[in-house]
Amino acid sequence: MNTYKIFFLFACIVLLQVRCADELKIEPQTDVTEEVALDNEEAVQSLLVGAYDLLGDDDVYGGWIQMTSDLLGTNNDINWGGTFTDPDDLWLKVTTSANGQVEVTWTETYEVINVANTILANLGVVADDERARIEGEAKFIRGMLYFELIRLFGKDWTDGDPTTNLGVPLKLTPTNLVYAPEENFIGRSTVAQVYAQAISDLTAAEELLPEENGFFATTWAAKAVLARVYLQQQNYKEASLKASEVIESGNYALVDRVDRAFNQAFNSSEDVFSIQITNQDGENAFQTFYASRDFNGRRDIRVRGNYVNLFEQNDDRLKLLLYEDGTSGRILSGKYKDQFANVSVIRLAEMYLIRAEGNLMSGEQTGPNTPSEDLQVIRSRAHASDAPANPTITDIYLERKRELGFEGHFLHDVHRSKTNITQNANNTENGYFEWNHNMLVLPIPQREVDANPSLQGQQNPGYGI
Amino acid sequence: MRKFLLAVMACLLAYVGYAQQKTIRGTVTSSEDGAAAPGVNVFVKGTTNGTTTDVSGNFTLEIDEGQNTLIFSFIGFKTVEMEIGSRTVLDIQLEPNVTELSEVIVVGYGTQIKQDLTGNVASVSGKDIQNIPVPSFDQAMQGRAAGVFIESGNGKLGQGIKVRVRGAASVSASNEPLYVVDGIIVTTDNLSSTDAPTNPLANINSNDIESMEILKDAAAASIYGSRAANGVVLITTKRGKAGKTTFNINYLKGFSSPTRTAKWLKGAQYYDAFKEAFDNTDAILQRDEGADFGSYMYDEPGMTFDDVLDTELGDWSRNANENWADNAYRDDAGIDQFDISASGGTDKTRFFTSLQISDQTGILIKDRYKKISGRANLDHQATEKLSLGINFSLSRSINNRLSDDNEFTTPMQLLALPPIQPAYNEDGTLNKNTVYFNGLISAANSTNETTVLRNISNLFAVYKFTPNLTFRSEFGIDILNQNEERWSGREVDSQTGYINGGAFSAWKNVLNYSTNNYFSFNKLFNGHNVEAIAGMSFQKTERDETTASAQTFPNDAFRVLNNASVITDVGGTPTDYSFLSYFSRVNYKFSNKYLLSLSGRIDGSSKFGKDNRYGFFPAASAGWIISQEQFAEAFRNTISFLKMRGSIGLTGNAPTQNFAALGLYSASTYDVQGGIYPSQLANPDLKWETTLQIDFGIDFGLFNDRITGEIDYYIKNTSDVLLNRNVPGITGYLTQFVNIGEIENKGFEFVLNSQNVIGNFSWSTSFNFARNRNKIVNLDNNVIEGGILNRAVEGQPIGVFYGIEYAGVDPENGDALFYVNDPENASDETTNAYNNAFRTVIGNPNPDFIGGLTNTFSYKGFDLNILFQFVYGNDVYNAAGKFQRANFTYFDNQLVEDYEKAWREPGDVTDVPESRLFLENGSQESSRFLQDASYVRLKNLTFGYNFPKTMIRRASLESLRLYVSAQNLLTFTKYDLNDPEVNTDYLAGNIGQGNDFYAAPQIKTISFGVSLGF
Repeated sequence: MNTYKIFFLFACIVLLQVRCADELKIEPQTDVTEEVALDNEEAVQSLLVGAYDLLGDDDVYGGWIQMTSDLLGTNNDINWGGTFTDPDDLWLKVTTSANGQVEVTWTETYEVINVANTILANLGVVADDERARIEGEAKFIRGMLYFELIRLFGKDWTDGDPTTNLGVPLKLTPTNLVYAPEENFIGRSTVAQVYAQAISDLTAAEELLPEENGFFATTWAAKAVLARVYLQQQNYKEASLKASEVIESGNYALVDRVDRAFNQAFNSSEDVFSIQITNQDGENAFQTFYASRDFNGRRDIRVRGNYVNLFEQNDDRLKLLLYEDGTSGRILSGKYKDQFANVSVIRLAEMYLIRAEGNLMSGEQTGPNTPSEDLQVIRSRAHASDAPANPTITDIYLERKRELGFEGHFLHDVHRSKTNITQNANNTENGYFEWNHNMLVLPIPQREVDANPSLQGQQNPGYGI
Repeated sequence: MRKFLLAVMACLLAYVGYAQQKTIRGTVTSSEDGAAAPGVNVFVKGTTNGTTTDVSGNFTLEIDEGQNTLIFSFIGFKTVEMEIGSRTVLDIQLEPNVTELSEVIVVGYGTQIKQDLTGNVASVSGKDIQNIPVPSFDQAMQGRAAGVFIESGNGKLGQGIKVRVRGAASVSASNEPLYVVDGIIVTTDNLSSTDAPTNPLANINSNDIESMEILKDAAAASIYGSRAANGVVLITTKRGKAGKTTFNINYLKGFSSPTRTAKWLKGAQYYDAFKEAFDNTDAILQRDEGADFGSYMYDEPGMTFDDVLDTELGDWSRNANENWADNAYRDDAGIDQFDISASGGTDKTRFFTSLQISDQTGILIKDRYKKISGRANLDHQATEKLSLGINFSLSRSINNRLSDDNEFTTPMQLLALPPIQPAYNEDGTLNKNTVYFNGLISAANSTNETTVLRNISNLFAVYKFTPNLTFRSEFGIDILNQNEERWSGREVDSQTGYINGGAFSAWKNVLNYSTNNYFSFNKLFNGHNVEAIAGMSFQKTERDETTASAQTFPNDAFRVLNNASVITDVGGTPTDYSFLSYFSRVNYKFSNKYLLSLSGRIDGSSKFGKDNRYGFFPAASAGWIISQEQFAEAFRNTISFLKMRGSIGLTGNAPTQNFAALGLYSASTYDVQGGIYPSQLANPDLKWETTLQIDFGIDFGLFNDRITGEIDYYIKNTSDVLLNRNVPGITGYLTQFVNIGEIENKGFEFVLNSQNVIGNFSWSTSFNFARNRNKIVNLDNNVIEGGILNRAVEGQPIGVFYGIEYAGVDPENGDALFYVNDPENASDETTNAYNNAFRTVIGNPNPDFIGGLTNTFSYKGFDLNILFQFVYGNDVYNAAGKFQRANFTYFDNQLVEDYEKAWREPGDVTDVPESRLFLENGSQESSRFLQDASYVRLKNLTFGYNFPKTMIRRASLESLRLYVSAQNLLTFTKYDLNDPEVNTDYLAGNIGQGNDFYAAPQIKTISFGVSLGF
């Protein structure tokens, strides 16, 4: 009897072991392993959607790429008044290489670039009719982001020699999930090399992308970004050309009232490219930091009198796009009130201003309008007084500030126009910064220098080693 | 060893040398149960002539004619001297000598007598933590076990507790010990949906606990294999004894308050202080910029201080004197707790049941923890060979939680608000126009409730094949169901991001089931004693969860998720993991003197990479009970017990994440389309961390074990450290899980228990002391940051503070100074330009040593128990210093001390810089906000009176006790904010240690209780 019982017990235990050993293979439920993720066209298309989602991250185009530019490039236009110290340091021009916001802007941007690289490496499973579009969108995203990185982390194109000034690392292949560290220890390319990569990607995108593509990138969006790139290089002729192509495409039209270009749940008629935000997805970081408490914002970025005084009394951009916070009396930008509104990355209005600047500076006329006429388009929409008949470059920069304020252009305009800026409240530098001051170029994040030996010794000047 | 050989020689000589002998026989039994006592030393007094009793307790000894006294000694029994006289047969009963050393200690898959241990196990009796008014038993253990560092991050109820057994050995995996309740590994996952962890252990009723054992060294812990490197806490619950059914009822009521609080500026003082800061800045601007405050800061010349207040603050009044602290702390904090238990049974069936209802209100507004828990433990002897039983427990807790420490809505952040801003308007409504969000609006318009339902139960059966061989099978389940419900009304929209109110719900269910099946064998023959176990264990945890948030309610009367109009997010990460294990242990004891133990476990887990699925964790240990040697007889009056032991072995630490080894793609959404993105780098080689631990110990007993103690020295070398190592961001990833690096913990532990006075008046003392040195030996050059300034970096203890070193104030101009600390060019040079200073290691959050001292007195029915607990040498960084002690840079209320000590005129020597509104002057992160947070605390003081039985029998009572108990009554420290025991919840982690950021101080509770038994 005992023998039988023991035998039975052991049989049970042996069976249990076999059963249990199987139980050691457990797959995740909410994620998919690499082997099954990218084996078909649908997956690559999903990856592209994933890339847009990351592109809209609050640390990328969801706001911080643009706000970083504005906080650095403000010429007593805005004050930072929030408790977050990372943006405060950017605003005060006392950024260190440990700045957390700078770090995530870098890492999150490269995260999108890696997805774009992954798409480009997996085009093989995509059918011919979709391949051009998918490739074009991936290159659009990559080219546009390298342009943003080089504008923030490298010296301006016109500051010294771009062929020797350091830019950012060019990572153009996807990172293998089975990670090999050495392949990814890439040092900084030159400013010129990064610009060349951006132009190459965007030019390819311009060719590959369709004219219509919902709210995703189109050939017009690629041209619009190229217009920005050429403008920043002071390649005025090409800048006007690309801007004019967008304007003259007939695909876009300025909205009738300037405030209707903002706080929109869907793209407006003047959005050339924007980040989609819904009440379930996406983060509009502009809204978080600009909006008053009544709109659930933190109202950390306040508009200073200097900026308000740029406008005539009747200017809609004063009347409709600046407002007083009910509780504190602070002046805030009305461009960001609705937390679920899309984030406009490129508006048609900017194309008019690029064409005006390009034509004025090149002395040639691309498109039907003179610089004065292009300015007039913008000013009359805002019900401001007429544009000067012979605008100067200063007029154009002022108009850019009025029209495009708080949309991420301050720093780049300061660089391009070589405007020295004043930052009151910074008592260590007496508040005065030359246009090409070290603090107007972001540091390479310390985390990156620590993790990537190739970056050691490549820190931007003014940020230690 | 030489002495031992001499003793053996002496024995032989004695045996050979004498001729005139007689033979004495006899049987030794135990007076407790009359059973034979094998292994008892029997020898002739004053000689080395002796023997030991056999299995049946019999002995035979040849003695010389002149020898007249025999001594019988055995561990755990009182030594007896007996005159032989003319007798040749001596039967004798030994009385048990109940001391620390004879206690039965629970070890992994079995028990051992304390004096036979070859490993290091700290034991805390359930009696010591009865009726301590804290939500979870781990808090009650503080200061009671050597080498076990316990820290509750703040005074919020139901929060996660940090427990470190012999230091931290992991950077990216858990550093918390493994918890085992009645043989079943229980779930300790933090299920909180916020950054502030909750504590699943809070659902275990500490009054159900019979004993807790903490397995510290490899010999004790490695039987738990790949999860034992952080130590193992074994919890044994109470069981019934045969006999009359006894009932115990206990009620206690406690009153709570904060342990320590800082002093903040009052209304008029605040106005004056900031006016001074305004004037200082104005003067600087006029001097350096040629502009006054208004024109410089606002482009509006001529602004007065009051104008600035109008612009920046919102509603304020010079006459207001709001004490915001009074709004944050509540004055009706305390606890009500009711316990009833019954136990008893027959020879065949025994039971223990209990019920506890407790309701604790925290020191901060809205903080509350309510719990009801029940237990039934049943044992049944089915046949002579088969016994079985069940342990069943069910508990439900409701925790009204607070926002994380870094949110404006948490009560402690009210303390940041200016006293010149009233909390309420004149019409009695809340002031919405404060410089920062008025958290009272949130208090009045939000709820945050976490409900936990937990069932930890197991069934077991033991079959005795022979008296020497038994088989035990256990099946356990642990169901942890946590439901978090949060609602916030429209008044709080600015803080929550909802539009017109919102709600969040997280439902999480963790089903953890396991089985242990093992054989136990023990045999005693001719002085050899072998105990062995061998078996297997399987555990699987299945976690389900769904979270959802939604916004836009019709009005504030509607508060649950399905009243909301718009769903804003749906989430939840269901996940499973499993462990399959085989384990064995052999303990060998020879002649009651020589101890040897070998153990091993093979662990396989779904968490490990596919190329490293199984790990092996062996341990070996040995002990020598020197006092059992006959040569030690000479010292026995002084040294009644002496044992040396040593152990070596491997333990592991499995990754916290279930799929850290896999390369993964995750799902995302853009607009309304589904997307995917690569989310994790793969590592098929990923495995456990391996800790090689060596322990040397001495256990001793003096003066007939009146004084007992333990001394241990250990070295824990952890290799293959699980590290979420940084990879360059240009890869598109931030980190990858790898096994890289080494961490060393070494230390010293000392335990002393002493019965100072015995008798009518008795006094006993128990002291423990532990010192641990933690050092990261190698991290492959990675620097992992956490907290605000904490980091894990080679050559330093984990979590050191790394930042700018504050150098005080320039007496000439009141500027804050910082040490330059240029790593290239070491000097004492200082600078007033913060950016010109370099960061360096400025402090260490790990204590140098910790310990506890308990004194227990009793006289007749009175008893008094006093526990002091101390932590020495750790630093705390006040991360809110940049707001609270920021030299009036902005309008956060400041400490009185900083106002009084601020620099005012050339020549002032102080460490508080000149106050300057809107200008940073020492408000940046620096060692200025770092302080030594050593403390000594009167952790617990209990004074009780037990009524004499004669008096209470008339009322048919077995016992009646009245007591008063104080928890955290006194705290001695130099830390000058609130309580020194602090680690702000939202930053707490392996690296984020020792940070204060609007963290609630600890709770002081004085409670009054009555217990009766019948």
